[in-house]
Amino acid sequence: MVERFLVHEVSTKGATATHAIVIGVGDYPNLRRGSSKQKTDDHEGMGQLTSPPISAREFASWLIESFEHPEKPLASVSLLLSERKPKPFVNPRTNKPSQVALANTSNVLSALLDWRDRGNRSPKNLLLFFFCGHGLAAGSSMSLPLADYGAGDLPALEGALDFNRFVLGMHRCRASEQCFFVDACRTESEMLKNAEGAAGRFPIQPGPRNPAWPILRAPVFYSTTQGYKAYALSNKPSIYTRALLDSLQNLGAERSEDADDWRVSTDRLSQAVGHLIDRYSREFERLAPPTVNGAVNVLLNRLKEPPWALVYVKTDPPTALRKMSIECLLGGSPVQPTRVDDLNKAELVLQLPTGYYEFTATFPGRRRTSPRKDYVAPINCSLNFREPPR
Amino acid sequence: MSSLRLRVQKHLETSMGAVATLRQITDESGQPSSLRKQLDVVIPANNLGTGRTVTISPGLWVVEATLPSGELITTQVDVAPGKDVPVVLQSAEHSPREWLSWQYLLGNVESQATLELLRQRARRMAKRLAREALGKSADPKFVERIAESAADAVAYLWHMLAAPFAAVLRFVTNGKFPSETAITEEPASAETEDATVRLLAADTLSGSDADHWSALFSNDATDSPHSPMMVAQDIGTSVYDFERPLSPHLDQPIDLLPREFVSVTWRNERYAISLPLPWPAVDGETGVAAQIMVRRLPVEGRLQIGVAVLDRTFGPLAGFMTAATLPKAAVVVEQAYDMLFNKTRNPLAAGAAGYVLIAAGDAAKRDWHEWIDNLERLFPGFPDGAVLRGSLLLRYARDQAEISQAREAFLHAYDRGIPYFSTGVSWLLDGLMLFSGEPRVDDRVAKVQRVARRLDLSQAFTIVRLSEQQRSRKQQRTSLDASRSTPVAAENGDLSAMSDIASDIVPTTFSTIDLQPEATASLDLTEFVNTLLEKLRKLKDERFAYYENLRRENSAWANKSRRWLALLGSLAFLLTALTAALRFTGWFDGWDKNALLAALAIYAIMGTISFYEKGTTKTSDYFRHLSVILSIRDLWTKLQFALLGEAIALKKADDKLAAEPAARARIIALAEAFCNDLNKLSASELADWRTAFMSSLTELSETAKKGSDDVAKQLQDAVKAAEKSATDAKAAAETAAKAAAEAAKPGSVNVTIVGEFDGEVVVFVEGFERARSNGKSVAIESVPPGIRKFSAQAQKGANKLEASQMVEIKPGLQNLTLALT
Repeated sequence: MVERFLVHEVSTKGATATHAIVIGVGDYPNLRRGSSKQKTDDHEGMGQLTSPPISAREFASWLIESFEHPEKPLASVSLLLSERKPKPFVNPRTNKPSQVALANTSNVLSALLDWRDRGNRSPKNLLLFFFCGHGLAAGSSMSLPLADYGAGDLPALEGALDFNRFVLGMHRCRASEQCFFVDACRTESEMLKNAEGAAGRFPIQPGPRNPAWPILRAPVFYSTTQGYKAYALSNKPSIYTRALLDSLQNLGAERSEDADDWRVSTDRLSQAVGHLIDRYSREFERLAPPTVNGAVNVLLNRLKEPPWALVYVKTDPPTALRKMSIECLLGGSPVQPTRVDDLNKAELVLQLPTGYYEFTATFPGRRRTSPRKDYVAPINCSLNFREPPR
Repeated sequence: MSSLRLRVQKHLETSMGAVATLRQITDESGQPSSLRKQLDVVIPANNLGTGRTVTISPGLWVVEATLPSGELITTQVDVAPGKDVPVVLQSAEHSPREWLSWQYLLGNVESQATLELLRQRARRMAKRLAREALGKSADPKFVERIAESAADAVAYLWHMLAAPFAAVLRFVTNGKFPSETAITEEPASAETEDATVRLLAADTLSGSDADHWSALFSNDATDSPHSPMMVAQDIGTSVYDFERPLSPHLDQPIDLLPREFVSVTWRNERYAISLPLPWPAVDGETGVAAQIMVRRLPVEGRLQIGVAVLDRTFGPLAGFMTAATLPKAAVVVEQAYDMLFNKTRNPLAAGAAGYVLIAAGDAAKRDWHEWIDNLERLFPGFPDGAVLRGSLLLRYARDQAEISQAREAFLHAYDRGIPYFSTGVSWLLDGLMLFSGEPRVDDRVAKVQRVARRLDLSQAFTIVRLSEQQRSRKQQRTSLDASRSTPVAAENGDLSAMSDIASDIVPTTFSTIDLQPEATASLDLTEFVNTLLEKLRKLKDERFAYYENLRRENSAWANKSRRWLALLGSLAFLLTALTAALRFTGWFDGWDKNALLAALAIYAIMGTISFYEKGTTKTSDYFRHLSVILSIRDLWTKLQFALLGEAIALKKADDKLAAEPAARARIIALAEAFCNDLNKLSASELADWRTAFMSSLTELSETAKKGSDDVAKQLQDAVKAAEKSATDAKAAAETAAKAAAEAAKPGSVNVTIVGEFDGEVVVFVEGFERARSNGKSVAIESVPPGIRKFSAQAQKGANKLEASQMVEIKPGLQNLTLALT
């Protein structure tokens, strides 16, 4: 039976695998400027969003195209979206278009149950959860409004997912590795704070984990600090999703101690994402750092090729920076760096593949510095060149 | 072997300055290292003190240090064999004040550079707003908005920025706006309004039946006789230190009771902070202070509270626990294991370590599990001990019995009161929720949830917000002001965070309202009004967007052209004066002309700018569009108040059903009037624009005609001058030709010979014989003009006599005398 929420499925013949569910909610008909005539009073200032469906599509596409786990290959990706103009999702591997289910409460709960059932197939399974959309927070509680938030006569939270209870319910799933990525605001909600009971619906009743199962390792990644919003530019992936994907694919990678490859685990991932958000916050003044609950280190991705890293170049004096050119030699061969957007005018930001480089800076008048050797590896390295005297 | 001596440079001292991760890149010969293992070490932070020595093999190493605030510092070090290399890691930014060093280390406050950036942005915004205000009539509402915005930017800048501008505005408007507005007074939201910090009486929140969870929200708490000690205050921030002496019995576990809380209030904000005291230092003999930072944030309308324990050994652990650096906290705990768990003097530090180890999920070492049991058993006043035990049992449960024990541990934790750590409150709630459905659990879940939903999770220690959240003025204004637009990233693509303009708004004045009469008429009154309002808003937004775009296009020119004209005019004036001075003094001969030329050039540029302005009317367009935008704003406001009036009137009506048709009719009339007024605005603006356009066309046409006439006249003059020049040239040529002809005529020379001779004398010209004569006067004719050689030869006896001379021959008669010798 074809499951209606899946946009990608690969048979693993019961072996340990990774199963992902990706949810992006941008169109909220019952919030401000929504398409429904009935608007909820519990809108808490929330309106329509453009970036969550785009972010969710990007994340799903990345999983299908680039995710690689050495022991738990990707077996399924469920995708649910709520967007103003729905369109199919084209699988980047097979080029096959799939209709995408609406991310309303009923569908999301069903999809989560299906996802949990796939996790139950093996205690070594890895489950990935990604959500992008509005978020309501009150202390340690978090509610994720879905497409039908505020619809009908029921309380608005009936159209939301009680995230904490949902995560606690997943204790009762056999899969011992579960990673949750929540890209949503965490601004304080008076409504949630004063609400009694649950902060929304949840698919599985919380309960203690079966002692016979392996210990659960379930870090939760939030895109922003409690009390703050998450941000994006209209019609583009969110800032957090962009940072997350850059980190999953490059900056969060570390050289594996046991194998000769580069791997991304949750510890390093959170550092890399935090570093990128810190840089973006210089451009978008309101960004708050992302946070993570839980310090367990879960392996997420193995790179097919060495990652690139960021190189921050400064000069002494700083005014010499714009007139300087830099030569990068890797194993004696020149490498052309990719220039990244300059957020800080006193710094040049380059992107280079990992390796042991020889850098030489040339200033006007053919004044060159002595070559310097530096190792470039994620997350970043810093170079400082002193302008030679004329 | 070699070594690195590592430390972080900071103006405080702690052994837990950072967690440094060391990775070897190459060995001593420069070859990539085959070792992939990384070393994690805890390094101190101090000011020019000693570092921690780590033995390593020589080669190139990458050192990456994570500070408790989450900041990452990376450096590379090349270590030669047998060398001990000092490595001092420097933060990119620094604490804004030395007395905030601990708070900055834990990430509770921004760096000095970030605060300065906020100030600069506030200054720019305040200046921009004031400039707009100075250019406008002194509408009190508008001026109030400026002052409010200036105060909102960074409230403590009111003293430096907005107050002087308010003084200027008063001067400009001759004090016409009332003095009791917020502009002339410092806003009540200014940071001069201090927060009230009180140490509550011990156990005042316990409640008569030990129901700490409900007592927290009561207003019956009494103050302690001891007042908190404020140690510093500046930049909207106050810092208080709290101390509690230790029991003199060093061999006894310390008693955490009675429990102490600190209350912080500011405006309508109320917070309760669990005071982590007493906190014994590592040696167990002295207690360290707990520091509370209270920072007022008028923009958000709330407080920011930071709690730090000034323990040089374990204080920073709180920062590691809350940043995205929990894995590093695990390193800290691992390396401080003995100090944390082999002494029972500091349950709070051990509890923090317990949270870290459980969160890190390290199952390898199980001996610390006994210490968690000890924490629960030995410290009944420590709720976190029971939370930790419950969490540990749940995590590593081996059978159902241990799960039941976990439930009991959570229930004990509830009875002991509110955990000292915010993680404890969260885990207690999570733990109880796992057992929800049981009667003993569910009512406790509700009470813990009430506290958990008011936690400040950015802090390691428990801080609970007791008051309702006040919406900041900024948030209030967002819902009313239709004209904001902010050039920053929107919330997850939330269009309303950028401006009130939705993505389907097309800037235009051509659109009309789409009423869909049949569908709209059948709606009930509430839906009818909401639908109509939505359609009117769309229309309003379209018009607004159209004029806003136009205003923005001309904004830079309108604001900058005048400034440039003034600058250029000043410069030209100066150059003109300089020219006069140079001429008068005679200094720098010739430079007066240069100065004058420069002044002329500047006047020409000014003329060009002025002409361009007249031709394009950008500045007048700018003000016209601004006026339209404000009119749209006013119309919208008026409409909303009118609708509100209708709603209230209908609500008060005795027979609402009977009153409804008339209300609908009036609402329709209001909507129609709004649309008509909007249309009139556009029509009026169009008329003004057409007038300005035609006027500028006329001006351009006249200038073109004048220019054309000038040019034509100049051309004619040039032609005439050319004609005259040609005539004059012809006459001059004729004269020259005549003169040339005259000059070409041959000359005649009367040669007189002086001296005696026999027979004849022969006269030569240019070597040719021209005449012979026995006499002494010889006439020679037709000698070509120019310099000629005249010579004479004769004989006297046996002697030959000669004479010669060079002569310039001109037309006419000349005389020449040759003396024979």
